[in-house]
Amino acid sequence: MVFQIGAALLDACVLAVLSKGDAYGYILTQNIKEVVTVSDSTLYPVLRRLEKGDLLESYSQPFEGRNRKYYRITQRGTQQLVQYRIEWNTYAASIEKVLSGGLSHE
Amino acid sequence: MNRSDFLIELDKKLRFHRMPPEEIALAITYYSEYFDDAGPENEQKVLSDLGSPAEVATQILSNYAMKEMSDNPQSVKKGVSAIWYVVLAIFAAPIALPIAVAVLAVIFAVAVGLFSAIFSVFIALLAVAVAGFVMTILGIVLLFVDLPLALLVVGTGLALMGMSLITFPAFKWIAVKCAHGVANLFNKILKRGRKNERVY
Repeated sequence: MVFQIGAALLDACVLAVLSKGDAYGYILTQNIKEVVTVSDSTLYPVLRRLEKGDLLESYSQPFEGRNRKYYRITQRGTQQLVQYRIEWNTYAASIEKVLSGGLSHE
Repeated sequence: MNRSDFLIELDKKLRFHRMPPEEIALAITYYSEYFDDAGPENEQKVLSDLGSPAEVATQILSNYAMKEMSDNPQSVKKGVSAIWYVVLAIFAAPIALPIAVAVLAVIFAVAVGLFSAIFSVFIALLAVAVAGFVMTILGIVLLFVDLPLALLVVGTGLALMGMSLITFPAFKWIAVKCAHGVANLFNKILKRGRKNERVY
C-alpha cells in the first residue's frame, strides 16, 4: 500500500481490534497485518505504550503448560477509541472531499 | 539463526542500551510467547517477519525513549538519558556499533589534527609579527648609535611584520575552509543516520 499508517492510527486499530475481545500478541499482530502493512515487530512497542498509558491492561492465562499474556481494553481505552473514531470520520471525510474532486480552488 | 539465538541477541542488545531490567524481561517474555504461539513449524517464518534482533531492539528502545520523554518532560536528566537511548538505538541497527565508533574516532582525530595544524601556523605568524615589531623598536633606538645598522634592523623588522600581515588573510581563508569541511562532514554523517529512521 502506498499510504503509510501513523502511530495514532495504529493505536486506534489496536484498540478497535481489542474492543471486539481480548487477544494475545501473536494473534493480534496477525489480525492487524490483515488490514495494514506493518512489520511484525511494530506491535510490541505499541502494546507496551498503550498498556503504560492505561488504555490496555494485560493478564496471564495458562495455555498448554505455559503462560499466555492477553491484552484487554480498559475503560480509558474505550473512551479513547470513541475519540479516535470521531477524529477518523472527520479526517476521512475531508480527504474524501479532496480526492473525489468536490473541492475547487475558486 | 533460531529462536533462542534471536532471544539471546535481543536480550544482549537491550541490556547494552541500559534498558531497565523489568522492561527487558517484559519484551523477552513477549517475544518468547510470540514464538510459542506461532508454533515451532513457523519458527523460520517468524524470524524473517520480525527482522534482525538489532531492528527489533531499535523499535523497542526508541518507543521506550519517546514514552519516557513525554512522561517526564521537565526532568532534564531523564530527557538526556532518553536522547542517549535514541542515539544508541540509531547506532544499533543500521551500522554495527564498532564501525560507528571507529568512524567517529577517525573524524574526531582528523578534526583535532587539523585544528592543531591551524593553531600552530597561527602562533608562528604571530611570532614573526612580534619579532618584527621588537626589531623595529630596537632599530629606532639604535638610530642614535649606529645609523647603517639601525636602518638594517628597522628594515628587517618592518619586512617581517609586513610578511606576517600579508600572509594572515590567506591563512585565515584556508582555516575557514577547513572548519567548513569538517562541519559538512559531520552533517553528512548525521543525515545518513537519520535516513534509517522508520515510519511504521
